[in-house]
Amino acid sequence: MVDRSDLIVTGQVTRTWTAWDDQRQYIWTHNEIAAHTVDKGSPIQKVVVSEPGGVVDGVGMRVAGMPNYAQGEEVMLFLERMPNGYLRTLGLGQGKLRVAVDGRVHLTQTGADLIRIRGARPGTALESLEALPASQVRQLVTRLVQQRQSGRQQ
Amino acid sequence: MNRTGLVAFLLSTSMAWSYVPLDPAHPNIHRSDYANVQFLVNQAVAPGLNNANGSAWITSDSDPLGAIAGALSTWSGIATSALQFAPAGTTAAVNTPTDRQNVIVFSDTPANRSLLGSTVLALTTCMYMASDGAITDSDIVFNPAYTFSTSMAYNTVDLQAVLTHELGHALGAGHTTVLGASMFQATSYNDNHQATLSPDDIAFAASRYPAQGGNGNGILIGKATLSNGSPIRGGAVTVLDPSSGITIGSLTSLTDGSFEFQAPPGNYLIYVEPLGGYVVPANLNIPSSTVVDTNFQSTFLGGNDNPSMVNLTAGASLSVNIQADGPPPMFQTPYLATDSAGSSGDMVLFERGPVSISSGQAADILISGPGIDPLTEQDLQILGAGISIRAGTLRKDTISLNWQPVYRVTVDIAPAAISTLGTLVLSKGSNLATFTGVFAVGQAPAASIQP
Repeated sequence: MVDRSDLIVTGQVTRTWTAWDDQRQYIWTHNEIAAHTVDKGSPIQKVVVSEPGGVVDGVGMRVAGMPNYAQGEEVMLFLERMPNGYLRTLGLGQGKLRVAVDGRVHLTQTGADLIRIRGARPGTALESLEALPASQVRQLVTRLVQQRQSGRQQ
Repeated sequence: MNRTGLVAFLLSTSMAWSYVPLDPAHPNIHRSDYANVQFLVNQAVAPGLNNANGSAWITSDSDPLGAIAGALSTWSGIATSALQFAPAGTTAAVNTPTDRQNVIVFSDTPANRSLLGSTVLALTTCMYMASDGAITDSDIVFNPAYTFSTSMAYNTVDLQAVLTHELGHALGAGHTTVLGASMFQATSYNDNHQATLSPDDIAFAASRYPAQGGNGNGILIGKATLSNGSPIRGGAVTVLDPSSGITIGSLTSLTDGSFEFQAPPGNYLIYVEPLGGYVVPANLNIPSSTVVDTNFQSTFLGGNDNPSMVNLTAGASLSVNIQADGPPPMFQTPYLATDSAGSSGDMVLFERGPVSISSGQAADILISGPGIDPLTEQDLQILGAGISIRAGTLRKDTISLNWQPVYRVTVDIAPAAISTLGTLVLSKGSNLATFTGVFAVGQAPAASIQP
């Protein structure tokens, strides 16, 4: 997940709104995140994470399995940039970890809308992150990012 | 908020469902054209189709149009439902969610890649009127990042299984708590069990779109509470007939813990289990701002030591209340795999999700995960038709998984003419967890079924 993320941030959801896209084809729900930390990607203070679905002007669009955000939520996010420029949660909700008031992370979603089940294989199982302190998960992420960067430089 | 709006909101949040709706916040999303749903297939869909990078998208040995016809007829063939799909037409149209055409499309565009992301296999965009929930357009879009087949070719995704699942969304079904059902949220390579509707999927169609003469189901109405009397909001409730294997799941109300089931006549066990593990609230589109109660363990009606059976008859309405106790079980969702009966130390692929096994054979089931060790035969039970654990076969394998021991047990599965499900029950002392429908038992080869 670290490899596939363009941006990994920890922050708070400050605003959520729905809108048609520029082509008025799909409805998207946009979620603004005030970034406290950035563990992969360029430093940034604010990011907008967009997911398909929502209701605008009496018209609804629903896609099963899309992650949702609530204003005030503390989250750790693994994000990927889409061809249309939007940032989306990696692996649908798998890339969204909720940070509880005690500072521990919680998975918000397992496989979603016919995402392919991942069997047991080398690497860190996502489930093993459940209830770990966010600081520990960030250390793990930072170490992996650094490993990848040094690997590319060699 | 005006009065009408407030009433509508209260109705929607206290409603109990016979299935998990596509959107628990808007449970009335439905089709008004259910008696003749017309899907069109984009003309590009063909064997040997490549994505924009030149990689195989549909293998050349596939019959995609046959698979599409098969998926449509699967949903149309439910005797207890008025639901019917028209034969699929072809079209040059693509997925335009505002054109009021339902299109099945393989179209590798930046817009579709943006919509799909990198990990989802396919999705359905359901457009609906917020006022009454009527679906106006539903397009099914396949991801160019994966290779689909109808031949179970190695490392491919079964096209018909995926489409059967997506058609469920197009009908207004959400993801289910029954792991082996077609509407479960995930699938594996080379696995087509989701091309077959389970009783859980059929219960959705029969209760949402009942047949004209009625669906022949009975109704179970009740409430799930904790031992302190507070409601269990968003608990997974299951009715399971051990003799037929019929397994139907739903959610308790997100406000008052009530539930309502429609199920075919049968003798049912009923239990409530917390979301978590394989299925978490967001998998069911429950908003992250909604409180879901998970601080309890799976509890059967009548208690875990001596569960009660409920006899449900056609047209009857029964009232049942379940009181659940905590704490959550100490063991986590297990990794599971299957292997040849009696083998040992083999390389196997573990899954965190449903496992497919064929009926009419013996097989080893492998179990591993935190908190599982030590495991005894008394800790294991499989609820389902014709699935039995062979006494004295539980043993520790020579392999381990993530530094956890792996246990093997041999099960005997009677030949069956129809697909069915098995539910794993793990208990240790007063701790008990259920993994509902985790074994998807396929039909036996015709030769092995007794006439």
